[in-house]
Amino acid sequence: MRTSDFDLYGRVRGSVIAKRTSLVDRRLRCCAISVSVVLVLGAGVASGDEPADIIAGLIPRLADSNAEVVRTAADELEKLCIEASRPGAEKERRAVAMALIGRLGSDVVASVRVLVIEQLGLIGKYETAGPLGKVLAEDSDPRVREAARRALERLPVVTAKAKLRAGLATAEGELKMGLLHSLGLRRDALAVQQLLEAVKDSDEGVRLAAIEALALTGEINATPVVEEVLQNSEGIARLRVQKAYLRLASALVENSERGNARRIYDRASKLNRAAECAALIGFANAGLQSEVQRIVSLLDSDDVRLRGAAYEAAARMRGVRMARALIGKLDSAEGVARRDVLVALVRRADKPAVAKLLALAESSSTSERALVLRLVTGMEHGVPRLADGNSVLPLLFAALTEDPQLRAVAESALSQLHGQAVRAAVTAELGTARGEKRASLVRVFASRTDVDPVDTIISAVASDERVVRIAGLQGAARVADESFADAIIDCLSAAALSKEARDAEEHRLAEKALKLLPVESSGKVLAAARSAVAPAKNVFLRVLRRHRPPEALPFLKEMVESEDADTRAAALESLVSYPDDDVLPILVVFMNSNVKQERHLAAHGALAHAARLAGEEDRREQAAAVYSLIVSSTAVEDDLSQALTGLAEVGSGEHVAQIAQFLVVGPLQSVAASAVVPLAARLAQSDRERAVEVLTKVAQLEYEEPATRAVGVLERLDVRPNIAGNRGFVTDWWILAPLPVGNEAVEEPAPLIPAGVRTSDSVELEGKTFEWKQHHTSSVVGHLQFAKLGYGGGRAVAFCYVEWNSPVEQDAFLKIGTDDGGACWLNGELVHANDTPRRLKTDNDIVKVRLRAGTNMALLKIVNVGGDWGVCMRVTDLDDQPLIVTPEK
Amino acid sequence: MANLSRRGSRRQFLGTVGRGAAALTVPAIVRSGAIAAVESTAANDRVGVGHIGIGSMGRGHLRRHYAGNKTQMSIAVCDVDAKNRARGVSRVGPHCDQYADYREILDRKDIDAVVVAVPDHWHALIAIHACEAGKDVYCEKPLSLTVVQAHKMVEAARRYGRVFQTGSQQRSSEEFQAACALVQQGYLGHVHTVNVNVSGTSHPCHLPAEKVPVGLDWETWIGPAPWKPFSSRLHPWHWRSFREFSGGNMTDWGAHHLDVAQWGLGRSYSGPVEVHPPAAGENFLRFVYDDGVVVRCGALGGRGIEFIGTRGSLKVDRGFFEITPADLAPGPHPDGRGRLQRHHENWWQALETRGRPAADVEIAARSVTVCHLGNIALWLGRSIQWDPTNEKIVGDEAASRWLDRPLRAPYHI
Repeated sequence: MRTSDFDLYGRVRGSVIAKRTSLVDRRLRCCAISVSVVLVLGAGVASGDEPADIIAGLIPRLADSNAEVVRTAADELEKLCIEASRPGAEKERRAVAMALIGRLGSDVVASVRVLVIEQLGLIGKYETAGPLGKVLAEDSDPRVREAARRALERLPVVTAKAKLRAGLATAEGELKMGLLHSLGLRRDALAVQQLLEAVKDSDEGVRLAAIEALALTGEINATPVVEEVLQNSEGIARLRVQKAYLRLASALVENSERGNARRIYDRASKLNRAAECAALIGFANAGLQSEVQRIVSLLDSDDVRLRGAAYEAAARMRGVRMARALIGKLDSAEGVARRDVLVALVRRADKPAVAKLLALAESSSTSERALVLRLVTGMEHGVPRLADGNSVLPLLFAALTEDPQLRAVAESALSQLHGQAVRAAVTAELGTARGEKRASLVRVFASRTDVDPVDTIISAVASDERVVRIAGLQGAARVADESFADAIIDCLSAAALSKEARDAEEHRLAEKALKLLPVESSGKVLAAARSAVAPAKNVFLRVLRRHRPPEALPFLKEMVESEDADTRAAALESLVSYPDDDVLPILVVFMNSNVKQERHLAAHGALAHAARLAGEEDRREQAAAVYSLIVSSTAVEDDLSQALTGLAEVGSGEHVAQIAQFLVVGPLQSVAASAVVPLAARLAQSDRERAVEVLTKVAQLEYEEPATRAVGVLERLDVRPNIAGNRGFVTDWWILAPLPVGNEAVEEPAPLIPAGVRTSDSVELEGKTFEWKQHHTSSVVGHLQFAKLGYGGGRAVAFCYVEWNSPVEQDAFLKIGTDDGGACWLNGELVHANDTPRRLKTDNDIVKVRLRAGTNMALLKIVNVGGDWGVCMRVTDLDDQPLIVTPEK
Repeated sequence: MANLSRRGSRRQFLGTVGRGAAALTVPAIVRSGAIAAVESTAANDRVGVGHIGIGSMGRGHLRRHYAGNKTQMSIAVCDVDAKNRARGVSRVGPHCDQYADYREILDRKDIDAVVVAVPDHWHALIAIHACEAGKDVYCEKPLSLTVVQAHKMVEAARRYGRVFQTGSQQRSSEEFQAACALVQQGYLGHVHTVNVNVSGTSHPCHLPAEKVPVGLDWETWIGPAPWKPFSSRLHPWHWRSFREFSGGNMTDWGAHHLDVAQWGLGRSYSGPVEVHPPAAGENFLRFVYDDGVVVRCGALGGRGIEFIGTRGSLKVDRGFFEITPADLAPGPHPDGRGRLQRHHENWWQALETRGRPAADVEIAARSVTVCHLGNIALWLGRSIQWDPTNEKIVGDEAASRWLDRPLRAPYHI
């Protein structure tokens, strides 16, 4: 689908319906629609034409041999009909419908009559049934008659049913089947006699359609007819009759014939398991109390499907008998079965079930109470919340004072239950709650979207109780209202001054909450940082990092020289975030600090400065110096990794030695390998020997991407490490690409290379000449990416060919990677095919083959369905040892 | 419906072995691999799965999730294209039977569940018939071609007690699960707007006739849709562009992203009350819910879904999760399994527990209804009032007729 369609559609529609979408001014809307009727019509149709004239103008275009002309005309016809069908435009609708009806004659070609009838099906009413009935009975073209049948099926007038019934008299075959289905769908009681006659039709399809239609009507006299057919049918036909039998029962229930429905369900339950499942649910839908015991007995069935159907039925069956039976079952049910019973009770939601559930939620084991609370509050997937959910509220409030598991469930439920009653109850409860319960309710308040939690959170932050303060800070971190700034600052500052205990958790939450506040709060935070004492002061210093107010910079510079190590670290943490040149010298000093934390903080902060410098062309050397300093001063892996990567971008040959020290086994080996390759390439200009040494080391590492790049550089330096070749990969291919994709399957013999070998330098296809070209890959895993070779990336085919020598006849594995699917012929014989769209991966497919002594020839066909594409292949023996593939050129 | 010759089924083979203890002469049509598969106790303990539709999605299901599976076993494939059938068999193995008529799969008693991955216009028929035949169903999204078909699919699944998973696999994806949980838990405050980046609808099909490829049963491919001549722009790709077979991008991607919007808003079992086509200068639809929340759907220049609340916003897409402010709430914790894998596993689990799977048919019906309503508003160019309780269009009889389409005879539900 073209994503631009919607845009285009939106613009076109938008221009036409601009005013129509306004629900405020209906009059304006009507005017706009009138205008749009004219606007939507295409060229050649004069504005103000009558519908009949407009349609007359469209008819020749609808019959055009050019599909595009037909498309635009059909589009215009549809738009005309849509506009005419809008509410309140009955006169306009009727005029268009009459104009369409006038085009149903044989003078209009059949394909156009079908299009006209389709529109009549969408806008026609009483005036349309008769003409469509005539078409149904008399039109010479079967597709037109079928279109009329479909249109009549959806026409919302009673006479449409009469026309469908009348059509049965002359219809045969598929049209007759369609008419029977239409009458069944419309549940036409007047058609029963005709349906019963059709059951005796010589055509099996008609007979089955009649049975199905009869079932939908819920006609009681249909029962013996359907049963007789059921007895005498088999295979797919029996499936259809069985379905009709069950539908008949359902329709009988709707017609208040529950006794007859029960008899059908009872018989159906003996047919097979699928019918038995449906019958159980049918019993329940019909409310047949006599079947309660049967359903209950199957709740323990070993057959999982039957058991599932029994639970479904138990949940649906009305009446206290089933509720009591389920409650009784709780005495013995355990584990999964017990949960299933509880779910059934929740889904029933009748009085006995609710009473039992509430009792369980109040006084059973903790885990069961938690489960029941989750079930009744709609927190379990696929289980609806109890309709009378408010009765659960006291239990939820009680659970807030109990163990953490129950408290968490209750908090979650109270946060998510909607409704005024719940909100009012939570608010009232908060007024009196203390301790853990109050803390929970504060969190609930902060989570609910239908209350204003600000005052509650502010008072909680200032509470004497730690748990409530914690909840208040958690709430503040979620709600992020500017008015929290004063509350949190006052609370922390006062506590620090009075040496009142405030633990790390409170400080962490306060910091998080303050950092979420908008930039306008920065002034307050800075003032607090100036006046407060540690540890509150340190919290405020760290918060300054969030918005980096310029006026805080001098104060932070001052604070990084504090005697207090924690204050120094807090100030440094914020200071490093300022992208100012005069901060960098301070960081350089701290990168040499004796205090590890300060060293790492400074190095981490310096990364951003180095990146900033690297972005300025004339300061790249400075950036390299900073990166180099970071590498030598920090041990934090992430920072080291970033610094090494940065060095790769702006460094020079002189940094190779510093990076190469990380090429030893360790977490930074991969990053160092990637970083050192471009620098070693630069070093080669002055110290070729040292560069080759480092690059060779990288090429032998297991990291595919840097190793491949190292091989590429080495090859440019005329050094051939042959890493891929030594691993058995093909590195030199003959490629024929890109060829157009045909209709053939991927494994179908290559029409261009029927013998599976390359016998010429070029091939002819669709009047074009395609040449075999030789390509080498530096990839250490032999990956050859076709897009990089200039072969594009769309839907295309490529053939890849290689010959090599095997000293002896032997079994071997061809380990093939293709993007997308591919096939492989070895010595002319198809040995593998896989049409999966996928990425190129080493050893996508492994194929066992027999190599012959001497020259072996492999031809691969790659079929790309889109995006990148490529190939790789290696050859190993059965112990996975590489067999060296030295291409014969 | 054409029926290509069918190889001996597992059931037939078992019958042969059962009747003759000295069944030394194995029917030539049964390959040796099938014998091993049938005789293996473990194999027979597995749920037999039939795959209907072996196009690109169907093959994806086969490849990724059923090869080497310990609890499910693919034993039959069906497609109207012989090429696809052969691909399916080659992917599953020699024990797999192939059919051109899906009803033959439904008739097999050793098949307990089916994976339906056919073009949209076939979804309802096959899935409903599968439920009626007692099979559990995994049906690709979008669930249906019309609103009424979606209702009928829910009704069939419930009437026959079937486990019905829809292929809206974002329901099993960590980033979407985390996003919807955070929205529902109020982390964003009151969510007033949701932006859904889905655009593009389908258009009536008027394509010139082309020669039907060998091996393709075109009459069956068209099936219940109004008859159209073969075009290589319909099969194997691009049928989604045409209204006779699909709702276009609106249902194709809406079944994912609008589903997530409904999910996050806690409206998985409900829907909007108004649907407005793009207003002048806009290129998005507006779905309005009864509490005033607006879901904007169109080419909005972003990605995935964006929930906007009074306390922040959250953008989520495949492999993408961004909450603003950044430290408002924790993000997802991927466990490394792919979303499609998780989605199938969720279905398998539901097959055992008989509970509702993550993208249960009822949820999918609600989501696809939103998509269909969006299309109807686009096609008609006028606003629609929707009653999500009774699932009816209010005050526009002509628009109501677009909620369903009569099927071509002799196809029926």
